[in-house]
This record gives sequence, structure tokens and C-alpha cells, in this order.
Amino acid sequence: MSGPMTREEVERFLYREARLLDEWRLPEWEQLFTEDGRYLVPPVGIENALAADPATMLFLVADDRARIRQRVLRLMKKSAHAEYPHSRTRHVVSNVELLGEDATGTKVTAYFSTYRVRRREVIVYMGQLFYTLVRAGDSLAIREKRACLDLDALMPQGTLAFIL
Amino acid sequence: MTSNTQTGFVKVDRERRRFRVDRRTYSDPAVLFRERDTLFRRCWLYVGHGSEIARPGDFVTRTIGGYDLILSRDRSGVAHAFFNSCTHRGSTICREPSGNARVLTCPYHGWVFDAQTGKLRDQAAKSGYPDGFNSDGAYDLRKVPRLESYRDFHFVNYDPDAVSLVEYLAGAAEYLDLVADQSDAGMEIIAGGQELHTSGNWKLLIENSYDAYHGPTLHRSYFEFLDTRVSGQNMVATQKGYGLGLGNGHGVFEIELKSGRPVAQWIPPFGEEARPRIEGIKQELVERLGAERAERIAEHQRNLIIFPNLVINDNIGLSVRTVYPQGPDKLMAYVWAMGTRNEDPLLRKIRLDNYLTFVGPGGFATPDDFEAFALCQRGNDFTPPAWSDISKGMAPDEDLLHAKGDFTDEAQMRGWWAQWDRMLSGAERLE
Repeated sequence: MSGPMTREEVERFLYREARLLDEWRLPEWEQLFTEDGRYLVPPVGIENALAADPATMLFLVADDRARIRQRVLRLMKKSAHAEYPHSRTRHVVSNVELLGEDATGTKVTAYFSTYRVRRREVIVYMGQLFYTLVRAGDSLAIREKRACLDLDALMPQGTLAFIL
Repeated sequence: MTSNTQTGFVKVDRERRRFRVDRRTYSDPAVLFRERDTLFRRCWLYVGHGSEIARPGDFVTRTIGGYDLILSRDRSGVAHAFFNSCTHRGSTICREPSGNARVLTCPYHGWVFDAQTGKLRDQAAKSGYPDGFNSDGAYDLRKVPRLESYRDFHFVNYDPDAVSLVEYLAGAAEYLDLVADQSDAGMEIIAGGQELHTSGNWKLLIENSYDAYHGPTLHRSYFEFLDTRVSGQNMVATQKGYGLGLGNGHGVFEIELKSGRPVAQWIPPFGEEARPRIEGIKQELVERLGAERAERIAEHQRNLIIFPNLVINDNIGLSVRTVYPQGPDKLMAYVWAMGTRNEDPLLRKIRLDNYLTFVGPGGFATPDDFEAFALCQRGNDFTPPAWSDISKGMAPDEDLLHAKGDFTDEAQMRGWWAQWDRMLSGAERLE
């Protein structure tokens, strides 16, 4: 496959990503990233989370590809107590828009509401996703996933133990 | 023999070397009420760092000990702490978390206050008030009774008769120096401060913050990550150090562990480019502070508690956190990362990256700590009344406020609880 990405193609990819996360198929999820792929969650309550830089600001998550792999390895262990037993999650992705292309790839935004159920409690994480996607063979790959939470405090979430 | 303390919530049995705490202290609303009335009304409470209000007119707002405060800096560089409530009808005045302002205007009736001095400037009304209505300053923004700072760490106290901050800090001042001395340019709070809310009594997060005993078990997955990141060797086994009560309930544990520090312990994952820079920082420390002190700052890690609720963890990163109850079984914490002022951008990047490996809501360790709070709270709330044990390393004749032990012992926690007991009971001594 080549040429510009279509919205349908991108949606298919993002829905599959969401399903891998909800089915806790994290080693497969990790394979969606390019070798230089990054997974970022900027601080909450800031003005421009899209422009925020983890080199100058305290992020919630700022993983390069090696750290993504370590995160996945950890979350698949029983000793990752915050996610043992694994919580039930539902990653709902909507409002997908293609924002254009540059040398790094195709820029995509989407809205998300992710529900986490743990010890009978439902906790919602919601916000906006920004992706940089590239073509990889017959499919797409993630060069950057940036999940910007619409929160001004982690109340009541407290932590971000799983993957948005 | 066993001695029950004044409050009855702490039980010390020196003969059998048992130190136990009634678990109702984690769940009883009456205990929480007493904590609010004593700890949070009479102790020095951390409110913010000078770097957060660097310029005249800078302010931050936050809730400290149950009160909404504005911490600001005036034209002459002096810091002030005001209650964030209009002296007219009580409305919250300032709704931004931080900013720079000349005046603060109440949204309700438009009373205008000088943001730097708190003086009432205008009442948005031309009639109805006599001349000299505020001649005695009764309608100026109310100031917190006490605001003092030590090495740019600002603290408030709601008790006008409290001892001075320096006297209160006792042995903890020396450990704040070990943070403040990391750069001759000073220290600063890094953007991206966090406010976290979770299940669990507030004391569970406090205890966890300076408890090294739980590291190898609760954080096994972190140490497995660290082993592959740094050395391929078993990092847990390389740790050594001590725990110590610092007086007035303050405590610390200090260890040696090669998990890397921008000031100033290089490890291979930081990269070759950073190596000479970090070694240069260490050299500067040696020249400024002498070899012994430089070694301690650069190579040792410290988890410090300043009673009752300021935690400074100077380990793989440098974090400053303060914790408050939100009811008996809920807590909130402000958490900030700290770095050196004018830090080399590469080292700042490394600092933040290293911090995130362990600390924070998305780190490889903090979420497991939060899980432990929820589990402890559940165990306390849903089993018959029982006692928690904090005896590890207890000596029969130990001075509870100043005890020393191995870093995996609980000496520093006994000091905290001894002071807690003193404060809640009003007694001079624990036993």
C-alpha cells in the first residue's frame, strides 16, 4: 500500500489498537509502534498539551520504544500489582480526523473515553489523542501517540497504571 | 511491660520490642477530626517553593491543611500567604492555579485587593460606606498567621504562637541543606506539578514515602527493570544505608544505590554525552562543599519526611510532595519534580526521564504503592479492629524521636508516630 491514508484506513487501525489494549494483548500492541515510536501522556491542566515537551516538563508518561517495551513487560507480570488482576478497560475512540502530513508522517487526532473497572469502581479517563502514523507494509504504524487528558487533577483516578 | 500512650492509639512494649498502632487511626472520623485540629493547625505545613513565585506579582493558589491559600511575592521580593476568600462575603477570589497579577478582583461584588500586599483597594461602590471604613485594615485580605522559609522552602503555620520554622525543623534542616546545596544557582520546581487523589487514609502515603522495607517486594517489577537498565546485576542486594529519626517527628532513610542522578551519579543509560557534564557537576560539588559532603549529595539517596506531611524523595529523581486527608479513607497529594536552576537542557531531559521510570502516576512503581494503600485501607475497614506493627529494628531503650536503624528498619516511622501521639494528646512525651 502507498499514497495518502484514508480516514477509513486510519479508523480501522485505531479501532484495532483499542481492541488489543482492551484484550490485554499488550505484546501485540507494542508491535504497532515504529522503532523510533513514542507514547506520551502530558501533564494535566496545562494550556497546550500538544506542544508540551517531556524534556522540559514533568509528563505522566514519556516512553521511547525501549521504555514502551519495558512497560508492556511489566504490565504482563503478576508483580505489577496495580494491574493484577488486570482491570477491565474499554477504550472508546471517536471523532477521528486526518490533520495533514509532514516529513514525520500523517497527523491524526481522535477523541477518547477510556473506562477502567477495578474493585467494582468505574473510573473514566477522557481526552484527545494525537497520532503520527506512517505506512508499514500492508498496515500502519505509530510513530507517536500522545494522549492528552481533559483533567485538571487526577481526581479520582490517582494513577495511570494501564495504557490509554 | 506495655505502656499505652496518652492517646491510647500507640502501644509501646519495650521488653518485647513491639511498637504498634491502632488501625482505627486509619479509619475513625474522630481521629481525623483530632488530626485536623492539632497536626494541621499547629504544625508547619509546606506551602510552596520560592521558584514558583520568582517575580514580583507571581502567585500560586493551593489548599493547605484544609484552607485555600494564595502564596504571592510582593515588589520588594517578600512572600505572603493569604486566605483565598473575600473579606466581604467569603467568595473565592482567585480561581487560577498560578499567574502574575497586580490586583485580585472578587467576581461577586467586585472588591479589589492588591495582589502583592492584600490591601483592599476598591469596593466597586460609591456610596454606603463611611470614610475610613477600612482604616484599621479589617477588610484587607486575611494573612495566614505565620509564613517562614528555609532555603527557599516556604511553610505556613495557623498557630500564631508556634515555634520558629528553624527550631521546628530540628535535625531535618541538615537534610534540606543536602537538597538546597545541589546547585549554587538554587533549586526550582519543574513545570507539570500533579494533584493526585486516591483511596486510602493520608497516613498510608506518608508512611510509604519513607519506608524502604517494602521496596524489594512491592516494587519487584521495578527492580527487575532497573537490573536490565543499569547493570544486569541484582540492584536490591547492592543497597545499604540507615534510617533515622530527626526529632519532632521528622525522619529519613539514606541509602547508596547506583540508579543514576543528574546531581551527580552517571549511569550508562544516560549516554556518553552526559558523562563529562555529570562528572563536572560532581567536581563543582567537591570544590564548593568538600569531598565528603559532595560524595553524600552525589552518590547517596534520601527519602525525607518533615512532620507531618512534607516528603522530599531525593532518589532517582527529586520529588517534593505533600499529602492531606479527604475524609478518613481518601487522600490527596500535590507532587512536584524539582531540579537545579539553569540546568543543562540535556541533564534536565535525563532528570525527567529517570524520574519517570519509578515515580508518578504512570511510573513503574508509584501505581503499585497506590494499590497497596487501597489494599491496606480495605484490610483496615473490613476486618475486626487490630494493630499495625512498626517494630522492625526497635531497640529496647531507643529514644523514639531520634532512633537509628538499618534503612530497611522502621526507626524513622516510630519517630513520626511518637510525634503524632504527642501532638494529638498534647502530652510532652510519648510514655
